[in-house]
Amino acid sequence: MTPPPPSPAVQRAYRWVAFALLLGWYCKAGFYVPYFRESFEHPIRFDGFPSWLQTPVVAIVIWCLPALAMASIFFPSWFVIRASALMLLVSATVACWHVETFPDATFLSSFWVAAWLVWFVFRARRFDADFVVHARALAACVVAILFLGPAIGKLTPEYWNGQAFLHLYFLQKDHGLYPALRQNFSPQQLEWAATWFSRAVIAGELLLAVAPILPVRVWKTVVGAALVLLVLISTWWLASVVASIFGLVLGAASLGGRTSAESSTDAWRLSKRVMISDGRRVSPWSPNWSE
Amino acid sequence: MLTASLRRLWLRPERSTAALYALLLASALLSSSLLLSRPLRYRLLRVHQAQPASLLEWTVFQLQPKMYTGAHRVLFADQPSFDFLRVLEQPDFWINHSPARLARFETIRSDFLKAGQPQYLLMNSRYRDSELASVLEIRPSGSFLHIETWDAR
Repeated sequence: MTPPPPSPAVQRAYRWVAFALLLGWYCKAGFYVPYFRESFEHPIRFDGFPSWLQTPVVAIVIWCLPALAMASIFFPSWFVIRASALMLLVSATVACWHVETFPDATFLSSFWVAAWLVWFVFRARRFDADFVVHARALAACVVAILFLGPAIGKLTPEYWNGQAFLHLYFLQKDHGLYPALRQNFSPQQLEWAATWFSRAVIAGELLLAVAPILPVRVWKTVVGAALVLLVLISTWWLASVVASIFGLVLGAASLGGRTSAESSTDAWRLSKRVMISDGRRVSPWSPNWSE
Repeated sequence: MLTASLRRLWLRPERSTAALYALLLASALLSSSLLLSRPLRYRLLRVHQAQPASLLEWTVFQLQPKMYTGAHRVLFADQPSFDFLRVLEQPDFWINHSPARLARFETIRSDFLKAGQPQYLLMNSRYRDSELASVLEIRPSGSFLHIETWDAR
C-alpha cells in the first residue's frame, strides 16, 4: 500500500521553514554572485586548510544546490521533502566550513534549522500528539542554542562595559540610527548608551536561551519580537540570518491541533497493521482487536 | 514546551528525537564550558582567527553559534606586529566575530592582487582572561591570494 502524502499540517510547517531558509540563503545573492565570480578568478590559498575547503567550485556548488529544494515547496511528496531537507543540511554544513563562506552566520542558522527540518520530515509520517509536542520543543531549543552561544560569548568585560558595541555599532556603523546618534550626542553619552545597550542585548539573548520553558504562544511572540528588533538595531543584512529562524518559529507554531485530514497518516498505519494481523483482515473495532 | 516534550520522550522513547536533543545538549554544554575552561577559550579564539589546531576543531567550532562572541580588534599594516594595540599609530577596527575573514579581501581581491604588495592583518582577540594576538600574511601569488600565519621565527 502506498503511503498517503504528507498531511496538510506537515506540508504547511515544512513550507514555512523551507521557504524562509531559502529566502535567507538567497537574499544576499547580490553580494555572493559577484563575490563568487571574483573568488573563481582569484582563489584563496589558505595554509592549514584542506584544498577541498578552499576550492571556489565547492563553495559555488554548495551555495547553488539548495535552489533545487524550491521544488519541494511546490511538490511536497515524502521523497522530495526528505531529499531537500538532507540537501539543505549538507549544504549548510559545508558552507560553515569553507573558507569562502565560513564567517557568514546565515549558514550557521541554516545548519541548525536544517537539522530540525531533517528530524521533522523523517518523524512526520507518524503525526501524533507526541510529534507536535516534540516538534515545537525542539524548534524552541534550536532557537535557544542559536542565542545561548552568543550570550555566553558576550560575558566578557568588553561587552559588559559596552566598549565592544560602542565601537561596532555606535562609532563604526554608517547606516541606521548610528550616524545621527554620533552627531547629536557626546562621546560620554554614547558610552553610557552603549553600556546599557550591551547589557540589554546580553539579557535578551539569555532570555531567548531559556525560552523553551515558556508556553508556545508566549515563546513565538517573544522570539518574533526579538528577531524583528535584532534586524532593526543591526543591519538589513542580518535578515539573511534571522529569516530561517523566523520560518522555524512560524513552522513550529503552525502545527496546531489535529484535524481529520491531518490524521490520514495514522489511518494508513492503522490499516496496514490490520492487514498483517495474523494474516486475517480484522478491524480495530472488532471484539478481537487488541492495541 | 520543553518539560512536556521531555516527559513524553521519557515515557515513549524515540531514537531520532533523542538524537536531536543530544546534539542540542552537546552544543549547549560546549557554549557553557567556555565560562569554565581556559583551554577551550583559547581554542575558540584560535578558530575565530582561522588558525585551528586541527580540522576537527574547525568543524566543531564552526557549527557552534558564536556570533558576536569575544572582542576582536584588527589592523592592516605593511609590517607584522603582535602588540599593535600598545603601539597604535592609526585607529584600529573592531569586528564582531571571525576577524580572519578580512584577510580574504571579499570585494577588493582583484585590486589587492593588482597592487602586488603583501599586507599583514594584525589581530587581537580577547574573551574573559584569554587573549590571542596573531598575524596573517596576505600576499599575491599569480592569480591566487595566499594567506598564511606569520611566524616571528
